Amino acid sequence: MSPFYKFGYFGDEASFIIAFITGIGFGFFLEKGGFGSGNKLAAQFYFKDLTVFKVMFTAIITAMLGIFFLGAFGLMDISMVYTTDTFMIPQIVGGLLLGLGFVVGGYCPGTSIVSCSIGRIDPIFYVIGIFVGIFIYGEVYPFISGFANSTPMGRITIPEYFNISYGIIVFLVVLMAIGGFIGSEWVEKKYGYKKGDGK
Amino acid sequence: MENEIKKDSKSPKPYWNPYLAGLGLGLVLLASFVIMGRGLGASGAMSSAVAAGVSVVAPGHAMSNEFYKEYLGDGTKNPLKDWLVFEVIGVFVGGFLSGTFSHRIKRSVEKGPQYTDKKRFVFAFVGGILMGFGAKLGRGCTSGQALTGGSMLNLGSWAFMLCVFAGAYAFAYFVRRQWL
Amino acid sequence: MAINLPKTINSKLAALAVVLGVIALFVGNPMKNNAKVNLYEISQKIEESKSKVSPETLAEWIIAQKADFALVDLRDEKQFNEYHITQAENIQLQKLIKSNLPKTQKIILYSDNDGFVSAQAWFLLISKNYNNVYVLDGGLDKWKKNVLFPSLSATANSEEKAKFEKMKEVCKFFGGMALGVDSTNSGASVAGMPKLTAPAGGGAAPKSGKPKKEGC
Repeated sequence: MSPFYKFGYFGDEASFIIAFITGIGFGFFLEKGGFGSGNKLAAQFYFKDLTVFKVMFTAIITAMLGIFFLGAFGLMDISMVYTTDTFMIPQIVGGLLLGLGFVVGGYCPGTSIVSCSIGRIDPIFYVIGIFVGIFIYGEVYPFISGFANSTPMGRITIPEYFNISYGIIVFLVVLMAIGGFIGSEWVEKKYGYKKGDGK
Repeated sequence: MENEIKKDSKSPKPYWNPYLAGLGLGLVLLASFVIMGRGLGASGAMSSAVAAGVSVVAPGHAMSNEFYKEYLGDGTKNPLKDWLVFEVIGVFVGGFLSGTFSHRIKRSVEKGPQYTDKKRFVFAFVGGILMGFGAKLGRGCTSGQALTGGSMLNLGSWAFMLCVFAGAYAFAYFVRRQWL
Repeated sequence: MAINLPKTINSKLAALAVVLGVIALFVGNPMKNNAKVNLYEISQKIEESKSKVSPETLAEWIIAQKADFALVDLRDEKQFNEYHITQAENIQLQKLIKSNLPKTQKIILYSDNDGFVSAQAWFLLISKNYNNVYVLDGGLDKWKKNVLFPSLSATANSEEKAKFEKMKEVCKFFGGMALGVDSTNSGASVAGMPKLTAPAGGGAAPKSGKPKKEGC
């Protein structure tokens, strides 16, 4: 029965080794997908190169289907997988800020690490910026904690919120993603870098 | 140019088919769910580092702040001895390995052709600040919320993810000269 | 490596995803909420009284900074904010099943003196295959009486006196005070105890002192 860690099959020390190996896999596929390049990441937001969307949603539906069927076969207790609680308004504001930071800075935290690892210089400034941003958040937290913890909805999923079966949502997400992929191929053909553009 | 295939073995190999890279990423995420019962992350590790830094410089100040305390715990454990910290070190190593195999390790700056390095560094720094602040308010970043929460069909994560794309697309026009 | 993969790979992956999606549509709900309960095991546990932890033991664990247990306060938020035991996490009964308590740790439940709520919670968790669930014996009332404000009856023997001396130190740790020799010999009533305030450091934070962050 999984998740293995939550059932006590191994301890904290072993979990750190697993963390390291998981991270290697994470960084490896990010780089292979081209997420080490700020240019490629930012191109998503100019309809030039929709790799960000494609990689992200392939990963999401892969993991989503995997969890769903492991749960359905009784191999996994999905309720034991950690997810963060929902705080609707702060998360919406945080998401907008993060999107802004993404297009201004060119990375998200994970991809900036990858970009640093292949020798890029700009993500170093970006990572320093993240540290400063978190520090500022920490310093003003006592004053904004009311807002930061507003609209708490607890641990809630889309199927639970809309009271629709988990399977239907999984099906809809898959359809949406596939539709999105077909759409992005079309967009790239129309607006994307043509061969010889040097990208 | 990065995507072109050259006979020279030292020239960068092309990126993978994005759907295969995504499949690989999704399987890593799934493995993490199965083995650890948790997803991936990045900004959480950086928060631990910031909290650890503050507690070294001003321990009293750090322990009186609810935000730092969440990462410092009761002060008995090293905040850097954390799952996400080890994972992020792995991300660096994994990126480096992939970059090495694909001959993509190169000291360079990612930006559009019209931008100076200096201006790019300022934007990267400012973008980082926004990202750091937003990630804490949104309780995660693209890895922790969009990927992990997204595949768990977490309500807040989906709202967050849509807003990330909305925010980025809405503002892309104003910084277009940096990239195009 | 996957250079210039034929488009068919993408189509195959897409087709696979759609097929799995359609199956998911018919499977419906993969969450296994109907737990199996082994009544024999449970009755065994009750019989061996392996389900209780005394306030003194819990105090020792907290002082020794043992990190192998999670302390759950089952009372409502208002009561929790007024006072809770250091490290405790506030989870009400109706939220317990959806909470994310780790199966790797001991879980210690407490409420007021009402063992009923704790017992209900204990049974819910046991049914969900949690193995190490304990109830704080006597609830918060006994905790206050024995740990926070220990008293000594006038007729105490030497063994009880030694224990009292030890508890004097323990109660200081939790911000309580020893009430000294109790001349009425009836033990202080809970109502007569000094007003409690939330422990220092607990503050407004509804979370325990241990890091609970797992997400990004």
